[in-house]
Amino acid sequence: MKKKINPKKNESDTFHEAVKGANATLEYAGLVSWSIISRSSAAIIDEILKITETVGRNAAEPFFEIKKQVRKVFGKKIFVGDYKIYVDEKVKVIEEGIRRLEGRLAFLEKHGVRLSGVPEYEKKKKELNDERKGLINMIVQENKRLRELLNP
Amino acid sequence: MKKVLHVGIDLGTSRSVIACDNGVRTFVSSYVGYPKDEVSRKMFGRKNVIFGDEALKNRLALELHRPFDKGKLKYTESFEKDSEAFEKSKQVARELLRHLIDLAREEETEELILRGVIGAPAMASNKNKKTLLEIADGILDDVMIVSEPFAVAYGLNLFTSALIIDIGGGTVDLCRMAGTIPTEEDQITTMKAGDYIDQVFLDLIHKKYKDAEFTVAMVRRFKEENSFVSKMGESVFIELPVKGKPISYDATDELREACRAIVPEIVEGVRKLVASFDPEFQRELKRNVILAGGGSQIVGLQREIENYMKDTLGYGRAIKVEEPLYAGASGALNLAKDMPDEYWDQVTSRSK
Repeated sequence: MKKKINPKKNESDTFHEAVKGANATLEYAGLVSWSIISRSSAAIIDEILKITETVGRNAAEPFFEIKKQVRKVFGKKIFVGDYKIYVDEKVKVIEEGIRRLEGRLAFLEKHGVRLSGVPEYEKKKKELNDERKGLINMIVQENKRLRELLNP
Repeated sequence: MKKVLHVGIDLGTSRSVIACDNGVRTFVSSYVGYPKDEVSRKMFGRKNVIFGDEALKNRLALELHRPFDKGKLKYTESFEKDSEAFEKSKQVARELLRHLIDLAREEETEELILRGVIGAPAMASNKNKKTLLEIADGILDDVMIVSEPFAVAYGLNLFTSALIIDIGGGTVDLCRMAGTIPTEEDQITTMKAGDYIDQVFLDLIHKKYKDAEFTVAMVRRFKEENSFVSKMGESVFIELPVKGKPISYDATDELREACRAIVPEIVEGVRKLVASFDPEFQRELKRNVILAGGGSQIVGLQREIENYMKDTLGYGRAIKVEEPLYAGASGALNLAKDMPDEYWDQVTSRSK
């Protein structure tokens, strides 16, 4: 039968002592490495930031320029309280116009209105035959009599 | 040189219609409302006058007017006895006409000369027509009044051997076309029209369902969606509140009876106009009975009139116009457009 070892009872544990030592060594090595990395980073971060900022600004410059030109065309800088803001007024006017037209169209559709393609009021009056001219003339004479009643 | 905008207008008891040569065609329910107080004025965005369905919908907050109700202004003269109410109705009618014109010229930015033809009931007196001229004065630059059924006939190019029946809200106008301007003998106006159907229907429903609570506006809406005179067809049910709870009632017989109530006077008018026409052209006249106006949409009415004509006159054919609501205004617009400038100059009010 194999004898069971109890290191606590014998007060001698070489194996555990060796493990503890290895642990401590690893922990120390880790701390040293972290220390080196963090110190190095702190030393170069300012330079990195300077580089990326310059590169980023230059890379974004064309886009800012496009935005500026678009604002020149459609927008206007205005002040609201102490803040300076851009309001694309012309776009808003167009949007408002579209909204108004949509509302108008909905109203017209609801009431069964139809819009003809071309306004007709500029078209030349059609030639009337004698029969129709005679009818219209009679209506005019009747209305003239009515007007006489209105303005005796 | 200013542009000219021609308009055809049908100021109806229940709907007012406008057709213009800029392509706009529209209508407004003939209701005009004035906010009762500051609260209601605020509710309507500080507007002083509300029109059409919006006015009807918000009638509790408005002083509601129907300027052409019961032949007011356009047909009866008894109304003139109460001069204050008469003047008020005229003022309301002017508001309604101005609103119609605004709808038509909303998109127009330029100054325009407005030339309009307004329809009047067939048997409107000179006084009634004069009232219409007064209503239009200052709103339209040049204006002419014509008989409503004549305007329908003009729009359809039916000048001879045709009988127009214009079934409106306040009146039914019958007009015989004989190739000339219709005279008094050629026209008949009856007061049993759409509003009369509403009243009969309301009375019948009230008699049958005593507990139900309803208004004329409720039954009118129901009638407009379901009106019919034929015995065939589906049952119709009306939902009415009883002590606050909506209950569905069968209103088939009542609605049919109410719609049929206007038929005897129409067919009697048809008989009179056919019988007194030149015998040689009577058959042609019986072939061309034209139904126009909102009332022509009553299901089965066309057949009912044809059957009656078959029984009493031996033959008859009735035709519904394609667009009953716009037939009068479109005809008036055609007339306005056809009118030569020199004719307009004779009836202008611009120089005055």
